Amino acid sequence: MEKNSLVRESIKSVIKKNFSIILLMIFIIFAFVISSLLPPQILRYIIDNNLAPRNNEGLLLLAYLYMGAIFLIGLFDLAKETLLTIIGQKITKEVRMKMMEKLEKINAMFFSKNESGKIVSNFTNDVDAINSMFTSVIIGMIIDCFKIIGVVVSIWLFSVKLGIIAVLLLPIIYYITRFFQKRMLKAQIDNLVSVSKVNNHISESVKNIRMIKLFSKESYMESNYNEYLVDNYETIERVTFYDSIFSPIILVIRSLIIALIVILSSEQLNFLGVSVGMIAASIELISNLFTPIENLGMELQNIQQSISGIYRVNEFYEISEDAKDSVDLTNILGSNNLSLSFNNVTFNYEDDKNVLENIDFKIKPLERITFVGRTGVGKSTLFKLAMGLLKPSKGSITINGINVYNIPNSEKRKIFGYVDQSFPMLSGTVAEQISLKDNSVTFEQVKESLDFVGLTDYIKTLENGYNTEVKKDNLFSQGQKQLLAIARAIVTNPPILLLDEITASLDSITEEKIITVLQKASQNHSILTISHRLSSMISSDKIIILENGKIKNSGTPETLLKSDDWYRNHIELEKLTWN
Amino acid sequence: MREEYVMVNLKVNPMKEPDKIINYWKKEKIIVSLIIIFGLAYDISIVLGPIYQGKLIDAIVNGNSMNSIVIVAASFVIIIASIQIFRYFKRFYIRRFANTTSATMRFMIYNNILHKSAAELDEENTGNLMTRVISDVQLCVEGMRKFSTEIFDTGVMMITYVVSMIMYDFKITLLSMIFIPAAMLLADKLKVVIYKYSTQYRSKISKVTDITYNTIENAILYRINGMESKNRIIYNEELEDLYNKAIKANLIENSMRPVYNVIAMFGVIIVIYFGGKNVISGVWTVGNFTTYILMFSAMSRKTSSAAKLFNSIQKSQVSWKRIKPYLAEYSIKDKTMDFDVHNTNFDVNNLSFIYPLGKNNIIDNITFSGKNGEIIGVTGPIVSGKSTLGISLLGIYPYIGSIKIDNKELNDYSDYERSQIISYLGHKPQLLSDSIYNNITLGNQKDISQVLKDVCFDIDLNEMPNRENTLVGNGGVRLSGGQQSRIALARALLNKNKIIILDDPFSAVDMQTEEKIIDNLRKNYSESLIILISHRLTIFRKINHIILLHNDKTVEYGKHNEFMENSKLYQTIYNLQCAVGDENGEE
Repeated sequence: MEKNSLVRESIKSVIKKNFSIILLMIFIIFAFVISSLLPPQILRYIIDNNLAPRNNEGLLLLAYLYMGAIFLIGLFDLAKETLLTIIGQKITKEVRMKMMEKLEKINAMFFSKNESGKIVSNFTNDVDAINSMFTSVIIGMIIDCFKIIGVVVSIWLFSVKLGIIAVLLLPIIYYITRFFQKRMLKAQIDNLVSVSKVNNHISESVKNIRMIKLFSKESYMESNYNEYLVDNYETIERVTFYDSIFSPIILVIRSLIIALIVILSSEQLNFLGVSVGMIAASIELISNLFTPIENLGMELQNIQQSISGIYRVNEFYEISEDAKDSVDLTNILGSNNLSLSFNNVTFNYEDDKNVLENIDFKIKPLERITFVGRTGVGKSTLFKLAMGLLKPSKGSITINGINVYNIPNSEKRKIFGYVDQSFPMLSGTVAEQISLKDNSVTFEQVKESLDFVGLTDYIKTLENGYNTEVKKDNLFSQGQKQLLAIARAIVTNPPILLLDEITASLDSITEEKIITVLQKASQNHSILTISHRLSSMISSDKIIILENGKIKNSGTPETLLKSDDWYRNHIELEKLTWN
Repeated sequence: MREEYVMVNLKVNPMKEPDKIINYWKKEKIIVSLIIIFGLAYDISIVLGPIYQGKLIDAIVNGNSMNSIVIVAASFVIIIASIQIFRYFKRFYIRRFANTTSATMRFMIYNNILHKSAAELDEENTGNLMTRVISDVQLCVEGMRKFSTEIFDTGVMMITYVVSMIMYDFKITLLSMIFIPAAMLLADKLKVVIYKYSTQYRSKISKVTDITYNTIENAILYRINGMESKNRIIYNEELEDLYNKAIKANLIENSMRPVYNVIAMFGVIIVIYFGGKNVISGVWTVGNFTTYILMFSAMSRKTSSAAKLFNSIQKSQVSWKRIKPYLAEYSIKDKTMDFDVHNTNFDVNNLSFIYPLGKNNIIDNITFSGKNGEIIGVTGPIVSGKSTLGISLLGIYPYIGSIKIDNKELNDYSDYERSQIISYLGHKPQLLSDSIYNNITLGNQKDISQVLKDVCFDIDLNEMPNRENTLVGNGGVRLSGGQQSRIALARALLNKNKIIILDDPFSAVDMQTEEKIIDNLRKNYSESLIILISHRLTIFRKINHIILLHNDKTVEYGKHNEFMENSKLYQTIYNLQCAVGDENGEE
């Protein structure tokens, strides 16, 4: 059953790396527990030796001793908190680092299926929950257990009978706590469900706000919201109830026990055979016994959150990874003479129907190929396969005989340049938009590629030229961003360029500029293009028409215009910008 | 148990002046007075615990009779039980107050956002805003709750303890308490340092979160460019820095608690020494001594929570400031109506339109008219402004020129009247995660079987075991694209409004169904004027009025047959579309 749990692995590795700190921690915990048992003992001594016999001697010293004990507790508490913080933070860091390593190996499909926000919250909220689980819950519980043992032993030393009472008390308290814990957890789970309904209603209202307003359904939506709020209110009331009742019940039980001890130790019964000082100390100790239990009741909510955090992080760790075989790239790196071929490739996303079926073609060096077809026909998937981001379900994709899937990601920039519609601005300077802060890319290369796309003049007008920080998204127009994207793709001079619908959202002037740049680039690159419109404007050597995941037809533009009605009509409609 | 939480009034009610925080306490008069009653009762009676504990010890020391010991023991238990009952109710009502306040705030914010105008909504990133505001409400209410709790559990309780300690011994109390303000002073001095380090820590957290977000959002970009492992090195460096800052901030904030405690506890030397002397000289009993120590320790522990009180108020103030702009008077739409339900005359004259935020889709100088029983088609190339024309006719944005319905300007109708005159279907189906029935009726109890037939959904419905009550899922995911758009169409048709504007309603519907639906529209909606926006000319064959928009903002008006004869463009497109065939269809 030993699953690869990331949380457990991280804790293990932190323990291994920081063995001395852990040892110190254990020592501190012991010292803390033992010192916290001291004040009641000193109090007992004061009562039995000074107060009851009315003896002044040594009282001041005992007062100092008592304070000394308080000081020790404070000191060990401080040390404990310090070490806990350090270890907790080390674990947090370790978990995050391991998650980032994992992220690198995760299959590319994962990113299209999961929202970034959700993955980010795995890294942030969930890991924080694990930290609080470790520091306040696990260590807290260990300390509480030691404390309980210490209290029972101290009481046992006063009187065996009283010790037995304390031991008998433990299972009773345990069952009461369990009783409330179970109900509290259930109430909290119900509450989480109703909270998610309330929140979902909000996001739904925001998404559909135009419809709501146009149909004047504000009051309808509001009354639905009211319903969810009331549901939520009721579940919170239930949580509140358990939350408010647990600690009073524990304290009432405590008072019962104290009353019982006093009655049992009265002169008449003298069942326990203890001194007054011992009674006072026992009352103190019994109170100490109940505090950790009371705390546990308060921590229930944190425990619940932490457990789900751990669960989600471990789930993240189990996502399937890319499994690459090692390959020898010496023949293809730096060579311009690359030919990419799809060898009877079929692809489907996890048992779904085939997105692509029996795709078979070969691109010669410096050839220009355009893929056309309806949206959703699998063109973008085809590009991801070509770059080895996805693994074909059947068949293979090779460059000069080397399987692209096995090419390490770190080498891809030397082979492929990929441009799509979006150009995400990263934090950093203009030059860093192109280099991606990769220090193997020289400043000369950056300048050259920006010059190639014709942005040099514009960039020189910026405040700090190439080193202008891109803080806001308004430094570059949509068309300039597209040019930046091309510069980013060609800065390492990769022999194969893949262009995915890059002119779809541009005006005709910018489009022309981009096409000029691409024509220039096509002189020493193989170019694969996906397009609705580009097909009619950049000259391609070959057009591949996809339909229902298969290659329906292919050939030179001239032959297709003659032989393929669909292609001809499609081109015509595009020219008239009629979608 | 169950009745207790069903008893509360089952509706969140709007409130007046929601932008004044004091009003939330004023509004819940009963709950707040119960909090005050039980809060005072608990925090004043709490001293009885140590006092009776002392009496128990004295009973033993004095060797009282069994009877009197049992009586003291029993009263101890009863007193503790009563104190705890007060505590339960105090805690319960404070939480109920927080719960009610949170519901009211969320309700008021929801109302406020729903009633913002279209232009105002365009300006804000509403999705982000809502999540931010909701988490701020949580923080703010949490602060309000802690504040209410701590007023009693720190304020009242400290006063109670001090007063009763003075009653035991004035001198000892005065001397031993000197250290408590010292601890508080230190806490106050450290506040600045704590603030400094925790700000650094927080800004680092948000930086690391940004990096994480950037890494994940652009994961494919970085993967293709082989940057992942290089970025990870930077990420690890940032984590190291975060680790250092976290430790500094946490240490100074949390670890100082034992320090305050120790300082405040210094007075215990005085308590033990002089208190012990009191016992020896017979002024105090042993019980008095233990009582006093208990009270003193409880009092010192409160020192550190006073700092907490301050923190919670500060946090809550920050979030209150952020939500305050969204708390305005409760709005409700005026639902009076004054228009002729039958006979529609729709006249658009020289209409020009530009979005307030200056998106570049402009329509310029459009003139046309129509009346009930007609279907007007609108078509044109991609950026010709077809959809913009549809939106401009809704009256939710300012326009230039005139749009008259029954000779009254569209602007002069109220929002509510407009919603009853015009119904609109945009590109997105905008379905709610509810049943088919509720999605179409949106709360109007109406029979939907006819409208379902009109949009050819009756066959689909036969395959659904729950029929009209079938749940569509979040955003309609349980239905196919074509089903979603037909449910949305049914919603727009249900009320047979005077004017029905449909923007590309058949985007995921196959051609045969499309044709059937258009026939149904012609047959069953003769009371309405339908404006049909589409790029697919095949559906205009049976429609008589067509507006053809061009990219250069010129407009042609005509009928299908006329365009087929006169407009080369229209004719070409029509033929090409017939040849390319069905581009949509069900996936």
